[in-house]
Amino acid sequence: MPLDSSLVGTTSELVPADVDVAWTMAYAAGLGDAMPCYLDTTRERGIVAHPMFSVAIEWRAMIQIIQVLSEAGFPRAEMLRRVHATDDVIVHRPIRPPERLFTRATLAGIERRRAGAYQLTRFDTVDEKGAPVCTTWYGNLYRGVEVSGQDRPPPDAPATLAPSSGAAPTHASFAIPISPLAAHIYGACARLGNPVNIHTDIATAKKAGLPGTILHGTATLAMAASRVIAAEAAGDPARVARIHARFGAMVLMPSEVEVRISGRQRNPEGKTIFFEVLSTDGGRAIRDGFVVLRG
Amino acid sequence: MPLESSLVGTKIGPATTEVDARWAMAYAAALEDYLPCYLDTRRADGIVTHPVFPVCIEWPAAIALHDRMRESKLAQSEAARGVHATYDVTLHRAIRPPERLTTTLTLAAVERLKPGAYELMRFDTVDAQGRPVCTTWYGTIYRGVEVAGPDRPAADAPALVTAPKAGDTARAEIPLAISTGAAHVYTECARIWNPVHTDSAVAAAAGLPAIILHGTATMAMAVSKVVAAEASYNPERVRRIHGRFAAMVLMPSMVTVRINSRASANGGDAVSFDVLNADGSRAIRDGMVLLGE
Repeated sequence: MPLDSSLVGTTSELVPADVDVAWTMAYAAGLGDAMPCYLDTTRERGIVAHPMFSVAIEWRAMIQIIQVLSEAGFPRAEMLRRVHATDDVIVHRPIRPPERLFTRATLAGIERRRAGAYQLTRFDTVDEKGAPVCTTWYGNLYRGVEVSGQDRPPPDAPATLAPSSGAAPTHASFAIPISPLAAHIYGACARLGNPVNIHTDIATAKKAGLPGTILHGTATLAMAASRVIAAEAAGDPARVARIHARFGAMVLMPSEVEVRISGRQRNPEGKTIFFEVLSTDGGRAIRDGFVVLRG
Repeated sequence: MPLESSLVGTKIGPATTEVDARWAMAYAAALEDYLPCYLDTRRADGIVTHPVFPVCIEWPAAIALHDRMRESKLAQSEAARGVHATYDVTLHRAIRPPERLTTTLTLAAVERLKPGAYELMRFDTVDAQGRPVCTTWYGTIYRGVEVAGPDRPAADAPALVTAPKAGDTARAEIPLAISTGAAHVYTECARIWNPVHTDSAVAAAAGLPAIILHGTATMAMAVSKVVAAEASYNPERVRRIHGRFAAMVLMPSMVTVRINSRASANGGDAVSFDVLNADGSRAIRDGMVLLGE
């Protein structure tokens, strides 16, 4: 059964989330990132959430979009062929718990790709005053699934960035050990709601044809962002304006991945750090990665 | 205001909890215990929970009891002086998710001890058929808090298994690294939210030098080491666990699980252990794991 592009434009309700210090601290701890700005509640200005924390609050709005697809007749078997393909987080301002935030998901695009049907969901998160906090463009690829109706790409998705000088040598690299239990810990600490999945349940992963459970793409991206913030932003996550990635090779557990910073580019607002993440066998777990820093 | 001993006999529940594989696996993951029996959902007989997992399902009832106590005379500032002092769980059988379990809490005792008021909670957990799954005795000391009314010790608390006498040398000394984020991770994976373990401002207000690891986390990590070293990696052999909590475990730090002795007792093998914190002080004393066949 194909993915119906007439569903583009569907929105979720405005989903509230009470973001408390316990949740944001746990998210950072789940990444093994113990910077005081994430954990030390005695700081005068309080703590901030990790810049990738937005995925934790977007989850419940995502469930509503999945529900819409399901009610439109998109079968569960094809749903299971979904892989997280792209992630692009625009950070308007840091999240400083406790905060009540509101997220709306919009099915922003459906189009044909060589590997299957590509679905782009946009999440808009605002605070109690309605001021924007973050905007995420989250791409799923349904492998081997057709699209019914014409391609409907989003007209307003932000352009990706690339280094102006083309391929660049590696500026720095960092090894990250991935524990056998990283996905269980990430799922619990982010409070992601899916009970049984390819990340934590070996039976489900094998059923999906995977060699084992695989780490969440957002976990790999968040761990990489932590390294970029430490190395390139003087440990200040409040400077992060945007985080972008395309997901490729799987990250199995246990393993070790390598974050390679491949370029730095000044721009009027600050600088852009380009990176990629290599899995143990050298496959690119993240390609076209970049973090835009303010200042 | 004092802790009222007339509250002894207060019951909370029965309350039903759905134990799913995700919760059970996350709990083991927080302890960095990756035995297949906790994680491999393809096993013919499924997975089991870690032997200290009952604390997760008991926690909401404990919160409800303490809310009720605050409605009586115990002030918030006194409640904040409560520290986990003793733990004693009897496992009637292993928990195999998914399971629907029902827990009833009984305030079993309130009495005066030298450091303050001692409260003993009893948790009885049964399965969907009403058969016993686990019974826990969980002791808290409220430092410097008085007791109102006569001491009311528990009449039916089980006697501790007499630990076999330790020799001069331990059977094993196992180092254990406690990460900076260990308490945050344990909190979420266990679903036990107590800010004194994760929020440095709350810990400072309680007079602690920093956030401290949950006693049950230290206990569970130690039990993992005992299961590996003394039970051929089979947690289903664990019949009972008890211990007394003492020195704090700060983060990050190294602790040492010291397995002192093993001898026949109470129809099984009693393995005595303690846990030393980074200063060499005992974080857990009188630790015991009773193993069956």
